[in-house]
Amino acid sequence: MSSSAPSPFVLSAAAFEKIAPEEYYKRFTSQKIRPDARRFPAFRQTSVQINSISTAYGSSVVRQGNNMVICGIKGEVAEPKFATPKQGYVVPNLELSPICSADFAPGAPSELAQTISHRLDQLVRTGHLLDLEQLCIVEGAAVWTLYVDITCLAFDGNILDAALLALTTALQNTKLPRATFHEETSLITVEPTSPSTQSADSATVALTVARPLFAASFACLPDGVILADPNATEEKVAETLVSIVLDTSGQLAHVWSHGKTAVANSPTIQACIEQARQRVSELQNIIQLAAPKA
Amino acid sequence: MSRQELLSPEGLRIDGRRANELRRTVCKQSVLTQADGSAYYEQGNTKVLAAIYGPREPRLRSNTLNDRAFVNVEFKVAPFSTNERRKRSKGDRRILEIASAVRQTFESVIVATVYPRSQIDVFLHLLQDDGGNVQACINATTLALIDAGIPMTEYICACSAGYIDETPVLDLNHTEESSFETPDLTIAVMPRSGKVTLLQMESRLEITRLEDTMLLATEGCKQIQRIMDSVVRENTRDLVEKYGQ
Repeated sequence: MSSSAPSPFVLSAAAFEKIAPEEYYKRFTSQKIRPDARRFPAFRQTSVQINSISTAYGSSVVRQGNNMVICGIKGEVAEPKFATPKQGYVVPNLELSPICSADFAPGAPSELAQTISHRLDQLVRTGHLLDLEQLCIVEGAAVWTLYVDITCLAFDGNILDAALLALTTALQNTKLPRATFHEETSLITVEPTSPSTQSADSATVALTVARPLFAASFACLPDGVILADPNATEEKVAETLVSIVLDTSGQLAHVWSHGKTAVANSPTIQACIEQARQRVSELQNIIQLAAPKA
Repeated sequence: MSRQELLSPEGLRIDGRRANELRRTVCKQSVLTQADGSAYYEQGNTKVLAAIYGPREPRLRSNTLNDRAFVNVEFKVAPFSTNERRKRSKGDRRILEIASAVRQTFESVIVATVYPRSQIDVFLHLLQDDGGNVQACINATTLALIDAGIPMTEYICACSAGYIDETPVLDLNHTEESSFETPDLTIAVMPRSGKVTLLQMESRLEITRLEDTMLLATEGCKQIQRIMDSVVRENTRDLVEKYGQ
């Protein structure tokens, strides 16, 4: 067929996207816009809702575009490690159940869910998110284990940013019940908390998050375009995915970069970090809005 | 454990309700962006989310039925939903029982013959547990199925009722449900035809009281249906307005 002859059939936009996603995206990026009408450095609209689950010690719901995650924190009393007698544990877990997207099958946790859970665990451990010694009940005998269960209810890409925001805000609003140690029986009793007593009174201890961390992720397309906060389809066409984790002072806590190209060149990373810094101050405003009125 | 007074001398229950009063019920349709149909249902402190995917191609070949759609129900309990944290596996019998109760209930109203060789997935997620899980799941599923546009012959509404001392009580909460002396009956009805699609009762109930309890629960179902119906109408009106422009 000669190239000058007009093509007899016309593809619908949806079919075009399915058949040639890369070419489809190129048409948009050449016009400096994305299919969902965002500019390249724009993040999706984000909102946080605090303590909507009254059975949890702390909870938050995060919406980021079409993403929705819910995070609940429950505690259990456990024995500390011998080497760290004063440190408690924080166990984050992300669940990507089939409720959140048609792409996820029921059954064992997917690779993505396990990867993100592991990253969150790393951030708590090595990112000094919070001082684990405040989870101590009795030195060498009893500490708190905080189970941070994050459930994704609607999935549309870039789940790390949403999950970390949910984890940070839920921890910031966690109130632990007062636990008392009885010498003679060496038993721990935990005062039961009910939804009504949970609001700021003497029976609970508020947790402090020393170094809140925030993530910003980017997708690098083949032609050097950097898309902030990629959605599920943008993640699929990306060559490289970069995730930057910063604290509130703009210090780096973690950088992950992986994809088809060996290493994203350093100007790209620099550009991502710069955009991530702006995003952190944006997120701090969002958290301030969600904070319970004192 | 000492016996807690579930009914005060004035006839009020521990959460301040009267015997024949429902808990505050809030529901909402189209809450999830990714699912084909979804609903959020809240009754007191019990909160359930339902999502429908499909009709779509069956995931397993063996689930393909040549004359109708296969209905699959999965129920999950969030680990933070109860007072004691407990991770329940998918094979937990209690969970499987609730899932199968929901599936059997809806097989009688979904017009499955419209979609041969396909699968309709119903995912239920319990976010907070304060008793009455089965009824909340069934009501959430009704709303989500309507939102997904899956043909059904009628609504299904469920409600629980029991007996405290000599008084029949409607819509038990967790404390009332977990008391040994309180019989707990859950009923699911089609409000228009009055047919019963599910009747579940745990623990002992005097046979002469069964009729009363069932009637009270059915009355509760009718109240719930009115709430659900207004939500469906409002949601549909909203959609019509949006499409009309």
